[in-house]
Amino acid sequence: MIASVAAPQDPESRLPARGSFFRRMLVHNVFWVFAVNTILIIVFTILSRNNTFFSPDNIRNLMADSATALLLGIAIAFLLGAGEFDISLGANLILSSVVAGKVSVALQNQELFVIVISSLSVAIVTGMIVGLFNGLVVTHLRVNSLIATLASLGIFTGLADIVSNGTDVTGIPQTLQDGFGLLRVVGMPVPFLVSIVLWVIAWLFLKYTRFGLHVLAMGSSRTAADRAGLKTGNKITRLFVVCGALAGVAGFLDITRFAATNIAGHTQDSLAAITAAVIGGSLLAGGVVSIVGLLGGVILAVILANGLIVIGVPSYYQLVVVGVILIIAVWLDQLKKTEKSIKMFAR
Amino acid sequence: MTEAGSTIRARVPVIDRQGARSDKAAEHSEYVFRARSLTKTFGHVKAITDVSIDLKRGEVLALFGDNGAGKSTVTKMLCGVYTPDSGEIEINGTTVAMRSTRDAERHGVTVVHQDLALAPHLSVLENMFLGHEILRRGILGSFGVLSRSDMATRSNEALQRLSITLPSLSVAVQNLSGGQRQAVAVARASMWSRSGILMDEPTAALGTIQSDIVCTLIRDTANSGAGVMVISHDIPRILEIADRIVVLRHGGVALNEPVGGLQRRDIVAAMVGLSTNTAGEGEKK
Repeated sequence: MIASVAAPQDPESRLPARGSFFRRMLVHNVFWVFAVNTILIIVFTILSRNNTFFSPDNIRNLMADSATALLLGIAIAFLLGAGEFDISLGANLILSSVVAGKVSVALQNQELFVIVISSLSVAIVTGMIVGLFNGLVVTHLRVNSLIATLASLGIFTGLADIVSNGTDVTGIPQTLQDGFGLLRVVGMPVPFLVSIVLWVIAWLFLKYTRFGLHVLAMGSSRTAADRAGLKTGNKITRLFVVCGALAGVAGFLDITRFAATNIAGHTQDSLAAITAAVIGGSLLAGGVVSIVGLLGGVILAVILANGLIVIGVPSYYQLVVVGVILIIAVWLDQLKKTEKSIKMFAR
Repeated sequence: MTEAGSTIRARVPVIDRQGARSDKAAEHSEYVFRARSLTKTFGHVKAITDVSIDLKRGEVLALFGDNGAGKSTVTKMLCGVYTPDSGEIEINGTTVAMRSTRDAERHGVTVVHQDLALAPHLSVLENMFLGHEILRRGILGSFGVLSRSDMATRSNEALQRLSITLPSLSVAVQNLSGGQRQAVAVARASMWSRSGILMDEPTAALGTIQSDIVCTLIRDTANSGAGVMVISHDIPRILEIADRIVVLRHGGVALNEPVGGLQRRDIVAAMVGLSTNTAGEGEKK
């Protein structure tokens, strides 16, 4: 990107040596995550009857499964990058989907366009309100974000139950499912395309804009960000709002796929999103986000869940495998920070 | 915050060590700051009492004092972290009221904190411009897209002006040595300073070689026209580069003299409140 100013002269400089492109790739989580994904795809394809795992229909299933997980993953990756947590994203998704579902039921006699715009807007606004609540609690009441969102996890799951009387919202217009959730464009499900577009936008913002730089600066050193004059309180609040909006979009996509809400099915979504982000190379401590790696982490979880079912293994083994992979990913990350690993990987 | 298309403010003209200024420099006040009769109390504790201190352009001012003497309190008042209970601060000839380091920066005075206040995961370039980013022109700028090439050009200029050598602007600060990090912090402060830099313990965490590099850097910064105030416990090393010494003791000024023939024992004597001879004997023991 930038030409060197001069050769390093300080004897204490600890820069890893520059190796070949392949050797440098070896130190990146992204490489390993996608390598594991490739191996899993091959294994599940071989083990599945008639290689159904790699069939077009199943690939579309994988895409559809990853849509909401990717959106929550983007949200948590940005928050982790800024040094914050949000374990209420799943609850946010549930509440947004319930509210959007109620609106779409009320508008069932309207045109598809009206139903989509109305329910999507309501879902986004609901998500933003939840995000604003979390942001204000974290920045104004100075409650640690882990604790604040643990509390809001309960609050907003409860609110979703109150709004829906504890049962899933049904009767969502079939046109919403046929005309959006199950619609394919160039062979891919629309919800997946929506999430991929947002993923690309998130990547661009993180990599090229002041917003992305400030997110990483706040996570890397809040003190440094404060002293550089960044209004970190406002920025963190706004970040929670944006992430809430992403959870709202995820809630909307969820009801378009199944034409019903799935209150019980998303309680663990936040933890799954955190897992995907960390496996992909984002640091829990903040300052480092890998949006490309996040995609790999999301795909990994989806492949495992789907693949185990396809080969006839109960899907709850997925939780065990993802947990083990998470530990390995974090361990490898720690290993990379040592001189030993620098010599091992980047010589 | 600097918005799109913003430019780095022009540095003050070069002033040589003897204080000979160019005609353009004469437009500015001779002093970076002049603080008069500063007093600061925390609860029942009088941290600073009637302290007057000034910093000239092109000068390295060393601020010494034992722990609790009031060095940090004075510095924090000069950079806007604390507001004095009484007294006034004049920067570039104008009396100012500062409420944050950002205010001080607006008046042309920047700070290098003891912890450097760098974001370790960000690159040198990103740290240099954090809070002052240059955006691309046009529609991309309205989306907050950074102009990294402009930022790199200006960072390179700032680093080269101070003869700072780094492996690359794109390397993360956490991968630099302590001396290199200090150099980045100084370069950043220099880039956004129009007149003065306050440095809090710039050599505290460094080894001998790195401390020497940083001291050279401090001298070069002053030679380029800025006034530099250094708080330090490293008396011998700072004595070599300082033009003037101020020693604080019990919240007041115990010594304020040009370096001239001052020796370490004179400064220690002022710090502990002994006569020079007694301090010298104490050191020998």
